[in-house]
Amino acid sequence: MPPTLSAAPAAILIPLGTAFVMPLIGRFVRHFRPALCIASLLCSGVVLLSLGDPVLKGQTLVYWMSSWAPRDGLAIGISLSVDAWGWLIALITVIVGLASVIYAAGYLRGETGHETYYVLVMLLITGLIGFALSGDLFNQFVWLEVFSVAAFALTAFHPEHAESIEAAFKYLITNSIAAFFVAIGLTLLYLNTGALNLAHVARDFKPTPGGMIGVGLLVGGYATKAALVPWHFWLPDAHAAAPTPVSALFSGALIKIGLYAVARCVFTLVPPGHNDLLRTALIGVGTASIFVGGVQMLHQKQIKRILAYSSVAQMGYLIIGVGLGSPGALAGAALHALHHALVKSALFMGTGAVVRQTDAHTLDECGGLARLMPITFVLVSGGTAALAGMPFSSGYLGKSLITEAAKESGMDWLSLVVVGAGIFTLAGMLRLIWRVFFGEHRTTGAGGAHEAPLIMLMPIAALMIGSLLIGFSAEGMTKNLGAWAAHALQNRDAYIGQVMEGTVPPESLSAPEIHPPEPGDISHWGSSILILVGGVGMAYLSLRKPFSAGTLPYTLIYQARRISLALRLWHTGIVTDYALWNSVGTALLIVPLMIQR
Amino acid sequence: MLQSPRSRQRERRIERQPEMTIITRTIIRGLLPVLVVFGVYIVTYGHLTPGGGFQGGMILVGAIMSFYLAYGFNIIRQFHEDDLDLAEHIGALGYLFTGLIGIFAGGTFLYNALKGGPAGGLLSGGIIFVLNFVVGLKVASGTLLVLLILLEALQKGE
Amino acid sequence: MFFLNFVAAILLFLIGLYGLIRARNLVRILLNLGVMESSTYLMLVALGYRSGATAPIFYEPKIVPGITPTVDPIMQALALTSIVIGVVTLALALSLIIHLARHYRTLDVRRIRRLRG
Repeated sequence: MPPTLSAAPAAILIPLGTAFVMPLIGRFVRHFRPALCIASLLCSGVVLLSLGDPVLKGQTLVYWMSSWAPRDGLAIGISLSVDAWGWLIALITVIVGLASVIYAAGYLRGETGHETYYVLVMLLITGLIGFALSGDLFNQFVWLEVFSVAAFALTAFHPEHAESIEAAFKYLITNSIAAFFVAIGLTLLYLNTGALNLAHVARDFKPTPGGMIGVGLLVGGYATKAALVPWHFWLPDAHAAAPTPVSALFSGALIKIGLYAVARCVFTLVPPGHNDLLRTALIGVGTASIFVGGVQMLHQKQIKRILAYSSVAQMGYLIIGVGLGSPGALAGAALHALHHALVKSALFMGTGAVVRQTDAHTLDECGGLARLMPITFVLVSGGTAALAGMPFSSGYLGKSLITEAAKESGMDWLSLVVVGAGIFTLAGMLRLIWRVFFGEHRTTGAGGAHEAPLIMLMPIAALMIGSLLIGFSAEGMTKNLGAWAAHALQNRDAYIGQVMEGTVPPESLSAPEIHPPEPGDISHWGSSILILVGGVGMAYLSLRKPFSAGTLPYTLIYQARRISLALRLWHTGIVTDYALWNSVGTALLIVPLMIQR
Repeated sequence: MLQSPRSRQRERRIERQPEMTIITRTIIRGLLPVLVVFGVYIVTYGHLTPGGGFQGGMILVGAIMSFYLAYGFNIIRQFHEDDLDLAEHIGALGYLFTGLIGIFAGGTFLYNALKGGPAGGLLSGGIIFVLNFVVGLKVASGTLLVLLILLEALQKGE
Repeated sequence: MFFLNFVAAILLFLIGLYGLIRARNLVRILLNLGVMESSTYLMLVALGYRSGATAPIFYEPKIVPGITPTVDPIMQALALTSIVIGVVTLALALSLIIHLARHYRTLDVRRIRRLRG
């Protein structure tokens, strides 16, 4: 056992211990609770980084709880299996968690219930890290419930607002159904293989109908966490109703866990040769997510709901990367997950600062804030550019990698989808920026606003700097991080072998060659320019009405708007409808698995 | 739905009645020591027989709840939320530290470093014996806390 | 025998799901959620069951590992864990319902839709 490995459980235990210690010593640390959280997250991050060296050389580190290593090829013990893909997601969680806790120290000033808040946030982060590092299906399920329950409670952190309670209830019902899907799914996998360890299940998996239904239920359950269409209904409600630092954590880390788990199921659980149709289905799901999220962005009035629907669209983007399944696409998905975690949490925090300083929740209540909150304005604009995938930002890297991979797989139409995603994202965000930061002050709250405290701006700026760094070191990030994440997902046999036998086949320790386009290379800027033109045009059309009634363009826009309103009506707000779509989506996912048995 | 207003009123009065009949109270008073001993037994012998910290803790909560059913809300008001909260966190931390014993003994997390007595004996479980107690503490206090909060909300008539 | 349990669990799950989708009352939604939950317990326990087998307590001389048939204890442990998780979720959901009833003065799910679109 390498010396760094013995520290692996500390990455989970330190935040968990903090969550339990805090109420005990709460009286003495009243003003230092954020500091305590930050310290424990830093420790957890250091532990993770210390594991980084072997993990980013293609190894899977395995830690057997209570020393119950597999005997005679049977894994009875519970393991932490850390490979580059899970490691990256855990690291994302720690980074976003740090930013969120620092931001919360400013955001929660003047509110009560700090202790509950920090305990729940630490439990949420612990659950996310635990899920990403765990190598056992049932333990993953338990961690899933740990972070879900913490997330439900955090969504309802303001019980005096009817909306937060409503959102929490819808979140709870939809995600409980998803959890039952996961539970039934892993029972079926146990029936199929007689094991619960992920590697053991993967090794003995037989593509019988029961096993395939089990995998389908798992994917459907995790897709609810990843907020893909049609499992996404809880996301806009929960993101908009939760306190802003929690929204940042949801968007940055929680839905990434869903993506992590879906990719794990598709690549590690299902034997190669049986997952092609499922991956095609996931590409369809991703396209639908991009479309629904993008169109819904343009219909929203609430500031945070716009960002929430943008998250739905971006998750569609990521799942397309997983669905393509080539090394380039997976590296793109991994790097895009990192990018989206940084940028979307920064955007949530930036707009959350606006909401907090003006007490305005909808676009109609703000206006003219660019002069009053210049730093926030700059940060949000920068985040928008990164989110739309402009060159030299982190978004450009993932976007170009996924587009390249789509072209290689012969799905050229996907690059159109990618451009469309960029256009919708840019248009929705420009609409937000225009209505919030320009024009006249529409309310007295907006007129009397001033810049948010430094402690709230610092984490936003740090996240944006991180995004820029990724954008500029495209080559290095792809080679040292993205390629290894793709390698971890694709080398199924190496994962199984390292967990079950503990040996590393040397030929498995080479990363795939992936060459990202240089951000400075103008010949690749075509799609970005297209996105810029299309996005600005669409934002203009949605804000101003340049055509007079009766002309052809007016009629076309009017009709397109009317048709797209049907999407709005789809989000009925009745939780039982959401439950129905949840189960329909899962049932549909099982179909491709059953066909390609 | 189809009840007359008077019968609904009567129902509410029964609901608010602080304690149940003397028969129930006597039976439960006699049963309480048995239930508590049974709960503690299930916790203590968790590693030898079907059972364990969780099951025993739940039985303890069941004992307290049956007392509530017989004597009304005032009897369990003696448990303070803060104390229960404290006990729950002590239980959780106890689990963490017991797990850490394994690491300090040179093994892995939760490594069974305490070698107990002969197989089948009370101490044969090593750290599992300890874990049963901390889990029992956490489960009993945590569940009681949840029930207490819910019952308080009911008492307020909400 | 196992097959029957299996069918019962699936039926229970589907009944719960159908009831949940058709339900209009918040408490009824939770009850249906409980039915779905119990289907997972049934499935887990049924998976570990072996007819004629005994408890896997190996210090008794008449129970020999590998020879005496024993039930699968893992599934029972999992069922217990699921029960804990279910209790936590239900308790949280109930407290949310209390708050919802206070805010909206109704338990009809069709009228609790301030967040939509």
